[in-house]
Amino acid sequence: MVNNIIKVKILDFTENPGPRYVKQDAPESQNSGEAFYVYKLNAIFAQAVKENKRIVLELDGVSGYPSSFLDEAIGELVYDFTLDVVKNHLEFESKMYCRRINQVKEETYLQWEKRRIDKEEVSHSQNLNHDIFYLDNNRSIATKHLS
Amino acid sequence: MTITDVLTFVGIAVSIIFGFIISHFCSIRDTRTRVIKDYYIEEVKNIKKRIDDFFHEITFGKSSFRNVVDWYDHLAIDIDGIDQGVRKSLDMHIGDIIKLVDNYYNEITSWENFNNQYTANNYLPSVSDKQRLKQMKFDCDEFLNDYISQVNQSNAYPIWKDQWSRILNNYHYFKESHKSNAAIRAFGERLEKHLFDILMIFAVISTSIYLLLNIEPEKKEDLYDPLKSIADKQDSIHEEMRLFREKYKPVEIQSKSYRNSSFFNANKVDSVQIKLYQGRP
Repeated sequence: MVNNIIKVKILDFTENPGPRYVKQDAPESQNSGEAFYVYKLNAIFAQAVKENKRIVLELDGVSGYPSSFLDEAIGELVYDFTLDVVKNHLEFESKMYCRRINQVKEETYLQWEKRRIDKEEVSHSQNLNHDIFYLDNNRSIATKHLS
Repeated sequence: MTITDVLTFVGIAVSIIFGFIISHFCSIRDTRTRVIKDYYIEEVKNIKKRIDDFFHEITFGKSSFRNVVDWYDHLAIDIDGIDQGVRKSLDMHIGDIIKLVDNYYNEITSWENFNNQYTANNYLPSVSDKQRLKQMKFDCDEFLNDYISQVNQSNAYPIWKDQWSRILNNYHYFKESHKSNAAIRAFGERLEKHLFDILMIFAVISTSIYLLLNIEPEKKEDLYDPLKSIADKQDSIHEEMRLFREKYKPVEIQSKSYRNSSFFNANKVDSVQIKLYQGRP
């Protein structure tokens, strides 16, 4: 049973959600789905799993979502933490972007879970130089380095 | 009062009711529905133009990543408003416009080539992207043409659904206005609006019921006995004739006809033929 709630606003990270990868973004900008996952969501989600909390991701307030942004951010979350854990610890909140939420739940979740099970390689931008958390085979939280 | 009178009355009442319904409800509803249809058809035409312009611009490299996202963000709100409005007013049976447009938006914004040009002032689609964009435009055009046709052919909701939705609207209005007895007021508003209609229908129905309950059956002349008496007589004559024919046989003799004779003292008898019968052995 999951208790407390951690609210995460995408607006606090970017006003203009952008491309899929950091390498596609403008230099010195953080608008990509990959950046949002690596630099913000991954750590907060790992903390939520450790502390048995639930994340509420607020989508409203930004200028719109290209589908690749959420697909990358939430998809990588599923890849690193498994679909069960993500479903158990992640909620969405939005009045404007209900269709994006449905798309994530109906497509992204399943596609990225399949990629995880099939052990498909996930590509990342180069020079991220950041540690990210993931669930290892023992279902405990471990870290891996993205170079 | 006889059944004929009641039937006449019911005939007149039904004519009045039908006349009233056709001239009052049907014509008003048709006019209102036509106005709504025209309004939404115009709105869908505007959406169609915006989608056409979008595909034209993106195909010919006149749009950018940011423009596409902003365009869809605004278009989705407008389409949702129109689609919900249409379905609230008309009994439509066609898929949502936004579903198709949303699928294409997702497809475009997931293209690697599109994402790679995030920072570019203009997104330049590849040849294969252009082909796909043209196909998308064609599909959108086709769907919106069908949609407009559906709007034009669709009907208003049945009157009870219409009235019920108005009662609900009234209820929410009175409740939000902090009026007491919102539900009673909501019903009252509808009753007041159609008071004359309701009274008229009530009067016709109650009069019909009264007449049916107080009807006196017509006293028919009893023809059974006289008709039976005639039939019996005919039967007895026939029987007598049969017995006569069994008992006697005709005998051919030289006969003589009497014309206008005073023999029978009957002016209207032209001739008389006498046949003799002889008893059968």
